[in-house]
Amino acid sequence: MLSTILEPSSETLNELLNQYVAPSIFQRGATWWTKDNPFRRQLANESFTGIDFDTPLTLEQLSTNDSLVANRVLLSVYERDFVMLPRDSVSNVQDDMHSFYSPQLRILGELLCKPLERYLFTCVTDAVHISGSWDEASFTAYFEDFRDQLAADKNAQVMAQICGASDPEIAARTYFVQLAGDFLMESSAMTRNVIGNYGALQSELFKVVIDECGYGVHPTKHSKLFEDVLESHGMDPVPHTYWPLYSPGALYLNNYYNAICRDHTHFFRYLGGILQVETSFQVTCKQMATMARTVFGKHTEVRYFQEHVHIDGHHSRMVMDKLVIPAIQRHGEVALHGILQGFEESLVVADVYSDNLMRQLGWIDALGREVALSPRGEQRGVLTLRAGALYGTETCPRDSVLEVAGGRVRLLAGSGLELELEPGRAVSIPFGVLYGLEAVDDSSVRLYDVEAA
Amino acid sequence: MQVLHFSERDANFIATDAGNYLLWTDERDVAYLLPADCPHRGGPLWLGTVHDRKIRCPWHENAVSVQSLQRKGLPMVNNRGVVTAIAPGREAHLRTVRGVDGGQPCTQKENPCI
Repeated sequence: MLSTILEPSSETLNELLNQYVAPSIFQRGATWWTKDNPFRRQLANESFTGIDFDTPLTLEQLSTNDSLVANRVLLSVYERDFVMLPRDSVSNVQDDMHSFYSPQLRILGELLCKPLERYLFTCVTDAVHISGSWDEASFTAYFEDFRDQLAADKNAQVMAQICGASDPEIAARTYFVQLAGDFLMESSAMTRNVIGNYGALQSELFKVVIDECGYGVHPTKHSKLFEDVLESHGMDPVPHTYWPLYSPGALYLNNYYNAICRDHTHFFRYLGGILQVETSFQVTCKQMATMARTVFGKHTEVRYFQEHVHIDGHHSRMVMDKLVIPAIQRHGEVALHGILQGFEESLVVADVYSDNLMRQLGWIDALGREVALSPRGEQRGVLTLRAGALYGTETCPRDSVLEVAGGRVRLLAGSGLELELEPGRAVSIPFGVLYGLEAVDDSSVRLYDVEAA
Repeated sequence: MQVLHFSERDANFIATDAGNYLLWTDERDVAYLLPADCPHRGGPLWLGTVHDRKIRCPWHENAVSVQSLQRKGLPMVNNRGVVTAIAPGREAHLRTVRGVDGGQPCTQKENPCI
């Protein structure tokens, strides 16, 4: 009986998934952006037909529409653990709040959580293999080499792509949106690990959390500092106003840390993950601050990034000296193996995020330039949209060409980029990029596969 | 102690002043850096033959269990084909070695008896 509940078939899981995504809070609204309502977010989209739970995604498939929907559902499952309130009175969204935290969604979410994690994260676990005889000395050498060689090349590439974009402000805002899903909830996932009783390690982790939370002084809380970044650019600081624009990669990064924090058998993996992140973040945040100043001017709001450049130097040392090494000394090989696994997996996840982001930014940039259209092949489908209707957001299963057959449509591609397309206009939509459509008039849109070379 | 980074396609052997190590991948695709010198008299195990999860050294035909070599393997991580290894000693050099028939060393995974 219990095994039927805990290990449902893929078919049963899809039935549960359909029930999970059905409430109105998980349906698309009349406009792309929700206002002051952290509970309302679109999960499934028109192209989603279900998940093959028996076949976990590969790293290359993490930009697919199935990945997008699976990640949206999983983040919603995780976030029911967090307290979220709107800025204005909760009475405005009370029904949505009750729906989000309802016992029905709790049970459905629990049944879906592990299967979704297996579906999404098996490829990350499989990407990393550890062998040989590790000990504290070899791990210390490994970590010090990482720290000393760290250049965060991929993040630097993303920053260069933003600064060199045809419209750097749109690229930067799109980037901030991708950060928002995680940064506006910053440290929520990890605080799952500060309750319980596990000796001195617990108190050491709590010190890191204290910094993340700004010592109870709200203007210094890290998530508040990121709200200030968004507001300084006229963007909405409420989670998850820009939900439809979260890329599968950004959702994936966020979900990974929730996954290793929520299941406490992954505690040591979490320690490895946070060691890598705290060490890298002091470098990547410096790059982010430089990018922001390049794009928006030297007086732009960068305190969020500066705070991490400073405090994560401490956090890296604190996590290594006060958490990781004591954990290895006390818990031996089990701890060491988990820490290494988490450290390496977090690098894989960071690459997934950056690769996905670079693809999206590259496409947005191409939309703003005169770029030769890919030759179209087979027609894949026709969308008929009534004036005012929204479609998506979704990611394309293959390199495609979208052509407006009749009426005008607005293509949503990034934050602040809504490109109006006249009848006859065609644009390339590469595999894995996130896009949505809004019909300005009653419209018809044709989708073609790109002709095979 | 040194930290080495290399693609598993570019090298399969680490020569250090504290011994040699061979990159070996098991049937589950897990890579190991096994001691490549026979524990008997230091013979070249990568030129040996494999049978019943044991490597027979070409010098004195001693059979060395793969399991015992795995226990003495260098600490390493393989992340999407990129190896990070912690090598002993002060000097370490990456190389590619071939087996007795000029192909893969005896301990590579295509040998079905491992």
